[in-house]
Parts: sequence; C-alpha cells; structure tokens
Amino acid sequence: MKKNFFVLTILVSLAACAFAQSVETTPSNESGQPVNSTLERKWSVGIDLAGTVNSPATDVAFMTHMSYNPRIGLSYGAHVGYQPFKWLGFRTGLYSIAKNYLITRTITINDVEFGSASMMLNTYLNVPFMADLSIGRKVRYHLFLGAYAGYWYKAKLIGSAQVVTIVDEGVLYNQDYEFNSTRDNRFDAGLNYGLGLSIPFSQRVGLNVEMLWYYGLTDIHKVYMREHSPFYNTTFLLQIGATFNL
Amino acid sequence: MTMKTHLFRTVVFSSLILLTLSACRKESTVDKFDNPNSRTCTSYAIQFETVWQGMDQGYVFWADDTVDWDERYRTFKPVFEAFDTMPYVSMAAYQAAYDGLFQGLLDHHLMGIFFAPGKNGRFAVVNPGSNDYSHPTYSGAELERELQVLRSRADLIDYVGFDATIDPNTSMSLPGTYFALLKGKRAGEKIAYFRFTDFSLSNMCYNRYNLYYKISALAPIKAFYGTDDASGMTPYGYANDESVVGIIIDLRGNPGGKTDDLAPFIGSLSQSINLVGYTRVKDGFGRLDYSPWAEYWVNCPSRHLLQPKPIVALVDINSGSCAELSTLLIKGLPNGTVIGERTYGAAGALLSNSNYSHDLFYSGCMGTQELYEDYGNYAYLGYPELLRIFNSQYHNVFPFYIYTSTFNLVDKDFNQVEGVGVQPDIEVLYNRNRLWNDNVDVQFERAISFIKNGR
Repeated sequence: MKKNFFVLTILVSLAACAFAQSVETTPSNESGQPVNSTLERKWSVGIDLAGTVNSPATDVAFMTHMSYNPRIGLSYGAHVGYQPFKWLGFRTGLYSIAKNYLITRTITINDVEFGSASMMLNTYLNVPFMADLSIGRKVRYHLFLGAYAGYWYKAKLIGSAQVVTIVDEGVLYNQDYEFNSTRDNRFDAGLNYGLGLSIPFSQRVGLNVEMLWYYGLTDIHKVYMREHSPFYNTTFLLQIGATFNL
Repeated sequence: MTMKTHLFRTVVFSSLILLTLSACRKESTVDKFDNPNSRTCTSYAIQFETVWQGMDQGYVFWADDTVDWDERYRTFKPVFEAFDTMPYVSMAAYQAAYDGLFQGLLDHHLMGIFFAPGKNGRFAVVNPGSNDYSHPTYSGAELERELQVLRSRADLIDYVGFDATIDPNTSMSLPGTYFALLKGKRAGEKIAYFRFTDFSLSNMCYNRYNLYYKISALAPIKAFYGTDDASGMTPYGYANDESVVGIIIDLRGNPGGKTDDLAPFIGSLSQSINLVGYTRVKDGFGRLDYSPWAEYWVNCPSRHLLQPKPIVALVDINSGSCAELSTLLIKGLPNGTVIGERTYGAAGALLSNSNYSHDLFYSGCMGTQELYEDYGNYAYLGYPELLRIFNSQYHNVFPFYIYTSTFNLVDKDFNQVEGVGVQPDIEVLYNRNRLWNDNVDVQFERAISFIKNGR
C-alpha cells in the first residue's frame, strides 16, 4: 500500500508539472482565456440514460458452491460540463446507478441438486468528476478519466431462501434490504473512465453515446472482524444522452 | 506545444494515475482458509484455528451474540500453541481452554467435542448453554415423577387406555408417550391430555412394525389423533371427541427432535396453517452476512378438522428446540395458551449431518461426524474406554465436531428466541418440594384449572 502511495505521489506531481507547462505555453488573450479554443460555448448541461452491468468482486475462498455474478440494471441522471479548452473539458453530475449482483448457491448431495439464488438490487447515488479529453471535427471522440463519490442509497433483495423444514424448496422473498451500520459501508467512491462520441445536431444540442466504467475503491463491507473478505463493485454503463450547450 | 501534445501527455499521465489507484483495493484475508468442515488437524494449534475459523464464519447468531470472538482468538491462540510445545497436556487444561473459548455463546444447541491423540488422549466436551438456569433435579427424574403424580390422581383420571409407561417399577421408558382423558368441570366433560418426551413421533409411525414403538408410542398417538400414520388429526381421535372441552399438550422435559413432527402433531391442532416466525441462514464469510428473513410456516395437515377448543401447552425450562417451536405455534393460536416456565432457548433448528448440511449453507454443524456418533454410542462405557476407542481411530489427528444451529429463528414479532426461550402466558415455576414431597404437580394443576375455569 505504501508503495502504491509513493508511485501515486510521483505520478500526480508529474501530471501537475505537465499540466502547468501546457497552460504556460498556451497562447492566451487579455482575459486569460486560451485563444485556440474554437468552442463558442463553454458550459453545457445534459441528461443521460444507461444500461448497467455490475460485476461484484469478493473472495469466496473454499466456498466453491457460492458465486457472485454480474447483473444488469439501469442508470439515469444529469450532468454539467465545462470546456475551457477545445481538447479538455470537465464534467460532473448526479446519477442514480444500479449496481446489482446475483448470489447463487448450488450443491449436489446424493445426486440431488440443492440451490438458491438471491438478487441484490442496489441503487447508488454517484457524483462523478471526470476530465473529458476529446478530438475530432464534427463528430468528436471522447476519453473520460476521473473519479466519483457517492452513497449506497437503497437496496432490495429478491430470491429464494431455505427454511427449517424445507431445504430442497425455497421460500420466495422480495423485500427491502435493511442496512446494518456495523457491516455495510454506504459511502461509495472509486475511479471513472470511459470512451464516447458526441454528435452535434445544432449549435445547442448534441447526442452522446458513451461506455463508462465505475471502478469501486471502497469496500462495501466495513472491517468489523479479524478475517475479512472485501467486496467491490465494478460497473459498466452503456450510456446515451443529450447535451445542451448554454 | 501543440494541442495534440497536451492531449497525449494528459492521457498518459491520467491513465497512469488511474492505473495506480486501481491497485488500491484491499486484499482478502480469508483466502488462506480451507473448509473447516473437512480440514485435517494435526496439532492443537491447527485444531484451534479450524474451530475458531469455522465458528467465525459459520456461527449463525453473531448478530445477537455479545461474545467478542476476535478477543477470544487473541486470548486462546497462545494457549493452544503452548499445548503443542508441552510434553504433557492435562485433560483439565484442555477442557478449560475450550470452556473458555466457548463460554457465554448464545446458541443453546451448541455442543463441541474435541479430541487430542496421545498416550491416553485428551478429550473435551463443551455445552455453554447448559450453564443457564436449570432445575435442581435431572429432567428425566422430573418427568417420571410428574407422571407418577398424575397416575395417582384417580379422582381426576377418567380414562387411560394407552399408557406406554404403566409399569411403575421401571423408570420412564422412552419415548414416554402418554395419553389420558381427564375429568372436566361438568359431568361428561373431558380434557384430553397428551404428552411425549421426544419429537420422534413420525419416525415411530414410519417404523410402525418396530415392536417397541408399537407398544410404547403408537397406541397413545392413535388414541389422541385418531391415526398413527403421521398424517395429522382425523375425526376419530379423542382430541376431536365432542365430550373433550380442552386439550393439554405436555411438552415439559421434551428436548425436541425432528421438525417433521411439527405439522402432523402440532400443526394439526390449529384451524389454519401457521406462521411460527422467521428464519435466516449465513450467506457469506462475514459474521453479519445473512440471507433475508424467510417466513417459517407450519402446515395444518388435519384440514382444519379440530374444533376450536382451549389448547394448553405445558412447558418448562427443559422444553427445547422443537418443543419451543411447538410452543410458539400454540401460543400464536387464538385458542392457545402457554403455561409453565420460559422454555430453554434453543430454537435455532439445525441439520445435524455435517457431511451434507455444512456445505449447503457453510454454517451449522461441522467437523468429524464419526467422532460425534462414537461419542453418542460409547459414552456409556466411560471416559477411559472412550479415549481408548478414539486413540485407536485417530492417529496423530486432532478431530473435532461442533453441533450448532443452522438456522437463526425469531418469533412472529422478530424477537430473538435463542437464549431467551418462549415466555409463558401464565407463569408457574417448577416447585420441587410440592412435586416430590406433597405429590402435587403445580404446573399441571394450573393447566387443569385454566381449562376448567377459562382463566
């Protein structure tokens, strides 16, 4: 971990130097704005809708009959963009993102297969902060790099559970998940990255199509016991949106 | 510097930063573990680690238990490590170490058997729940005495056609099933009294050709329910007789057994299927990783034949497990009343065969099942012989078996039953003096009074 922080510090310093150098060498006008920007409008707002695929990552060790599987969901939200340079912009917003997963257990005992499945439907409120690096003339190609923070807003459980007298049949349930403050870490943060393209329809309105990844760096389980199996989400979004230049 | 250069630099540096940050995920500490259910222990320390870890990840009551399990690790790991370096470990030291490790845990089914091989072997058995409040008399002796007192009530007993334990010269023979019709308040009114000391009734019904079962259990079952095929209530049993104005199900001293009995023998007493409570199982490595609460229903296979009449569950501190589930069921009936003491508090059902059940839930019973079975089969031979048998079987292996609940059960209002028991509607404490010296069973008398007077 210490090694990671050391490398990170060096890279951040290098990036800061590079950025400072680039600003110094960029011709600017009297008001300090870069003159090579061809964008007439710097601020924009937009709305987005996405399909999500969330992949949970945790260590099941010897529990080979258990598996945590990806699950699809929906995401929607709105963003605000600022484009100080033609090649560099920034974007933030507020999104409701489904980070769902499926827990399955299957085991064969005496040639009889037992199993259960439980779907965890999680809704997160995420605020991404991304650098928007873009090239292209009419159709622009984007690379998004940044980080996000958020909150595990609510969760629902759908599936089947075994009960005392019935182990080969499940009892169906569909209920809100009750958060446990000892176990559940509801603060969510991680890295954002993605690719996209934007197609302008007019001076004011454009269409965005993007592939984004939300790579979680916060363990959704707090460390409340000696032996700990961290649990992380990685969420892929295939997003379509409309951007309105202000 | 051109725009493309800016772009290129920024992309490279930002990507490097993201790549570096992406390595900041924490690492698991559980990947070093094998399955505790099938792990071979070759030292005291490994046995301790395996037991501790199995409980850490598979014990189903961590959400309510107040024991600091990590603290127990810090305290007892050095003790077991020291055992490995000592030329001789006494049985008392071995027992004390496991007593300390398990002390105060909530699970009242919990029982652990641990063996360390050697010249004479070491053997430890823990049962932390048994340290709770209990009667000063052995429950088997109480049961026998209660039955003796009842038999002596010639003024009360109207009809005993099927007394499985009628021979007063023998101690109470299991299953101790007993049925009698008692006189009610008015002439012609009767109270059906049915007791059994083990939830193995359906097992007896299925093995109906076993002479022992046939004599000792099937006749009382048939008298009460009208059938002895474990299919529930029929119109032909005394329980359904019009002259019977109330029913007493005596579950005192009943330690439980198979949940298969619940529907035909207790669910049959109701007018509908019954929500007894909610259950959940472990659902991951974390102590607080649980499945959702699932409704736990007990069927009513009698097709609601039984006419609504007062039903009393007579219980005491020795009513455990299935007897407690039955108590919960009867307590929830509109015509049900629980009289006696709070029950034992071992309501979490379990699947005892760890070979099959542990890996289904990664919780509950675990370890060397044969050790547990041998202990049950040969304990009567005494410890020296038992140690000799184990030493002959386990060479340089430190086997263990943990008997613990697979399910966490709460009542309909989500109140924890484990370690707490089911509270009676009318509390009547066990009175040893009256039972043994005055020939009066105060709990039984209160049940009769309740049915006769409605309060």
